[in-house]
Amino acid sequence: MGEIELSAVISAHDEEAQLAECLEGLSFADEIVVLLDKCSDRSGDIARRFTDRVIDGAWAKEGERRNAGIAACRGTWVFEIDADERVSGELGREIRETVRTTSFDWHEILVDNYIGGKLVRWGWGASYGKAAYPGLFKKGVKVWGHHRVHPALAWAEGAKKGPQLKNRIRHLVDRNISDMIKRLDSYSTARAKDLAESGDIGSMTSNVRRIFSRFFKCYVMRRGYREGGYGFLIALFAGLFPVLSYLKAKLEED
Amino acid sequence: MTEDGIRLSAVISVHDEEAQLAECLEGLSFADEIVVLLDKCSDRSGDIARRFTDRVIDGAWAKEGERRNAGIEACRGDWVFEVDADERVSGELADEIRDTIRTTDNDIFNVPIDNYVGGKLIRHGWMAAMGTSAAPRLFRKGVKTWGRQRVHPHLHVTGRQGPRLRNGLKHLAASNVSDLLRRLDRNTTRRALDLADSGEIGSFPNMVRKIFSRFWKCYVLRRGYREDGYGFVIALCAALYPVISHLKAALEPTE
Repeated sequence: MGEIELSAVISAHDEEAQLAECLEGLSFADEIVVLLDKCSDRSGDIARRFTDRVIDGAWAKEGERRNAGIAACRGTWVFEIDADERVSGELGREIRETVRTTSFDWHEILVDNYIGGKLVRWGWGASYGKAAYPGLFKKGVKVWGHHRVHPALAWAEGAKKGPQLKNRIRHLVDRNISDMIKRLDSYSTARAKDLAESGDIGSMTSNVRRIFSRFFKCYVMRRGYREGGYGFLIALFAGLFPVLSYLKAKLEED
Repeated sequence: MTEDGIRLSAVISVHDEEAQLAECLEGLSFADEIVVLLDKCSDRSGDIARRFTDRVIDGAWAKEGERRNAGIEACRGDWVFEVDADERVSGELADEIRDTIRTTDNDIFNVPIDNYVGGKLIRHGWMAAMGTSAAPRLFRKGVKTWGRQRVHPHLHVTGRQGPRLRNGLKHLAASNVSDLLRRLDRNTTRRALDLADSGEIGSFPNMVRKIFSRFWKCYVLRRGYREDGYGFVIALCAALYPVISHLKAALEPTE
């Protein structure tokens, strides 16, 4: 067990189309842990071709599922990845190099987001997409919160953040605009459940204001305007995410 | 009256509507014949339709306008009543339609449409891209033809317009906010194909301006604000319809 320095962990819910290609890029890790969350497709068969550390189960919330995945890792370091992300050879080597030499406890990894075949670099954020994420960390320093979507993160006291890695992970976020709309729909549905549970769904006025502030943040400050139409849509959907979540929580029981 | 004794035809065209079709057809027994067009159906829509009528036409139509014209063409009545699978005809509306065609000199009538989201009647704030509040569904055969667009085809109407009917057609427009977003997605995809076909997809700044003018029109002028949250979502979807259609046509080449 002492020889496991680095675990790669992924949790999948019916990802047969994506999983093999993702797992092929993870051979740089000492072990691969795959959580199968309510899978009814061939994800399990695919996972077992790459690793014997496959855990079947059902988790109600993303945060719980991610914590279960991390808990199952035996390595000193954990690298978290999703099925729609791809690791290049350069990033794999940089990750190994980092865990061997770093004096820090966690590192952020920059994300290259693709819509269809197009790299969309600018304008991400505000819970509709990420430009970087804390994907490489020592086991025990990072704990996910209990939310269905975009769970909050808690860091162990004194955990030190290191520099961002130089190589980027490739995130195949959407195939097209329809996919973007579907993601806005599913995110806001999950968020509505979290809001309803919290007992405080917020107000219409403040969520309408957020349309504009979040649009401005993505389109202007994060320079989504450089990406043309896709940048506009990312900013628009990031802006609409809170008000749609609020309205779903307010108008609809389940 | 025609020699067959068919004065009124009800026509419906469906694409995989097994969940909705039976309930819709049950309300059409007031017509002298029911014509059902099955457009590329792979579910049990055909079996359901044949329980109600022997006038069932199977086929594949690329565009909504062509399909609707084919349906009207197949009607043998002097009068045609057009209905969709997600619409329901009440007894009162049926009586009013029969009365109207018996007594009128006019050729075409607007039928009010009561749009429901979930179980809730949403009366205000609609716009064609998401739902309409009245449509010329009752007409003498021959006075109305549909244009060739995929979505919201234009209408060519001749003849004399009568007064709007008093009773409404119940339209189950969407079951919730997710459904409204799916409708927005579906309609903008089809609209983008029409735009690409036409070769004129419009300009981005113009479409952005329309977000504000259309939202204002639905939410304020058409009083969507009275409908609480659903009015907001409907206005939002109607507002975004042009810009999303434009961007799908501009960024995503089809086929």
